Amino acid sequence: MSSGLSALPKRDLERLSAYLDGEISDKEAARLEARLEREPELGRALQELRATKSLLRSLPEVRPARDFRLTPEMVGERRRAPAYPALRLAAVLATFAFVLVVGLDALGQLNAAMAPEAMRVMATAAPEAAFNEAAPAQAPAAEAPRVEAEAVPTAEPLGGAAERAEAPLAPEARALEQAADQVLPAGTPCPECTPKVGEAGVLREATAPAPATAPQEPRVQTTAISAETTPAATPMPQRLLGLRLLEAALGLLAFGLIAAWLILRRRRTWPG
Amino acid sequence: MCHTAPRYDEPGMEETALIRQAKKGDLEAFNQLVLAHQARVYNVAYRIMGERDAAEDATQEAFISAYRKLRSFRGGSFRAWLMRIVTNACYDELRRRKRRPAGSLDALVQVGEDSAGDLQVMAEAAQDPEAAAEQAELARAIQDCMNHLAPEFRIVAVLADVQGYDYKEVAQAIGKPVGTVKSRLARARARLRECLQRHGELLPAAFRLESETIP
Repeated sequence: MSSGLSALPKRDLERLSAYLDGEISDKEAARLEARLEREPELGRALQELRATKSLLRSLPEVRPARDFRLTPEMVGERRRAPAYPALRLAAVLATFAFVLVVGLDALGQLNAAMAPEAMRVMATAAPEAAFNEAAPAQAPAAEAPRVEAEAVPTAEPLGGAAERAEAPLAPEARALEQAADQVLPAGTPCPECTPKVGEAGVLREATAPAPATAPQEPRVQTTAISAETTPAATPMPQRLLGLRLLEAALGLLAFGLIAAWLILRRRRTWPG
Repeated sequence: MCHTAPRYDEPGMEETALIRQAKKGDLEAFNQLVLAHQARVYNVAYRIMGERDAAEDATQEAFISAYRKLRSFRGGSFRAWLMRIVTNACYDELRRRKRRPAGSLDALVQVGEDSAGDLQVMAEAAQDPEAAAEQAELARAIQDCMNHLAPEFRIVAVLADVQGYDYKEVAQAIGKPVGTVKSRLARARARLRECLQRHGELLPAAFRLESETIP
C-alpha cells in the first residue's frame, strides 16, 4: 500500500501542499495549474493532500474537563488578609473621631483661655504648636508623647513605651518618626531655655500648650501634675475629665488600629 | 463536524485592555483571558499530546507561564503568542518522555484512552449511536497516526490542519520562518496520508477512492 505522495519530489510536494492552502504566489500557482493539466499523478497527489487535510479538519473539538483559571497560589501570590479593608476603615474612623473630639476640646479651651497671660504663654509654646500642626493626624499618639517627653521628665517612661510600641511598625510609621525627629530640633531650644524661667516655668510650659496642641493620654498626666504642684491651676471639672478620658481612649484605639493595619499590610507584602 | 476557520488578527479592544491590566499583575483580568482562550489552548495541547491528562497539565502550565511572561508580550496576535507557549510546553514534555522510555508503556495505555474525549463529543453530536461510534473510531485512528509523527511535524499539522491557522500564525507560534512551516506541513500531510491508508476500512469513501486509484 503506497501513496503517490511519497514518490513525489520534495519540492513538488511542498508546492502542492501550499497551493492547497492558497499560500503560493499567483505566478507559481499559474505554473502549477498548467502542470496539473499535463501530469495526472500530480493531480492525484493534490487530491490525496486535500483529503488528508479535510480528515484532520474533521477532528472534533474536545471540551476540557476543568477550568484553567489561575489562583494566587499558582502564581506565588498571597491572598489579601480578609480583615485588611475593614481594619483600615476602622482605623480611619477612629482617627477621624479622635481628631474631631480633640479639635472640639481645643476650641472650647481656646475660648475659655482668653486671659493675656495665657496668650503670652501660648506664644512661647508656638514652636511646639507648629510641630503638632505639622505632624499628620494619622499617628498623633505616636508623636505627641515624644514632645511631652522633651518637656516633662515624668512623661519619659510613657514616651519610651510609645517608642517601643512603634518599633514593629511598617516603613511608613518609621518615616513619620524620622519626620518627627527632623521637626523636633526646632522645638528643642525650648527645653534648653526653660531652666532660665525656673521650675514652675517648666511645668507651665508643659501644661500651657496643651489646649492648643493635640491632647494625648500622657498629657492627661501632665495636667494632673500641674494641678497638684501649681496652686494657681483650678481643679478640673468632672465633664472635662470625662472628655480627656474619651480623647485618651480614642487616641489609643486609633493608634492600635493603625499599628495593626500597618503590621498586617507589611506581612501581606512579604514574598510568599 | 466543522470548525469555523480562525482568523489571524490583532487582539480586540477589550482583549488589549485586559492584557494591559494583567501586565500590571491583575490576576482577575488575566483569568478573563484564560476563559476566552482555554478551550482553544486545551484542544491544541490535546491533539499534540494525544491524551487528556497530559493535555490538561500542559494547558495549566502554559497559562501559568503566560502570566509570568506577559511583560514580554509586545502586541501582535495574543492567540499566536499563547500557542507558542503551549506548543513549547508540549514539545518539552514529549522530549522528556523520549529521554525516559520507561514511561512509554504508560504512553501506550494513554493513547488507548484518547478516544474517550472524541467519543463523548461524537455521541453528543450524532443522533445515531452507531455512526457516532464509527466517527470516534476514525478520530482515534487519526490521533494514533498523529502520535506517530515527530513532534515538530505533529505541532505544525495540529495548528494548520486541525485548528485551521494560516502559515503566518503557525510560523509565529513555532518561532520559525513561513518556509519551514510550508515544508513541515507538506511532509506531515504525506506521512499522515501513508499512516491513514492502513486504517482503510475506517476512512470515508472519498478518502478510500483516492487511495485505490494508486497502483
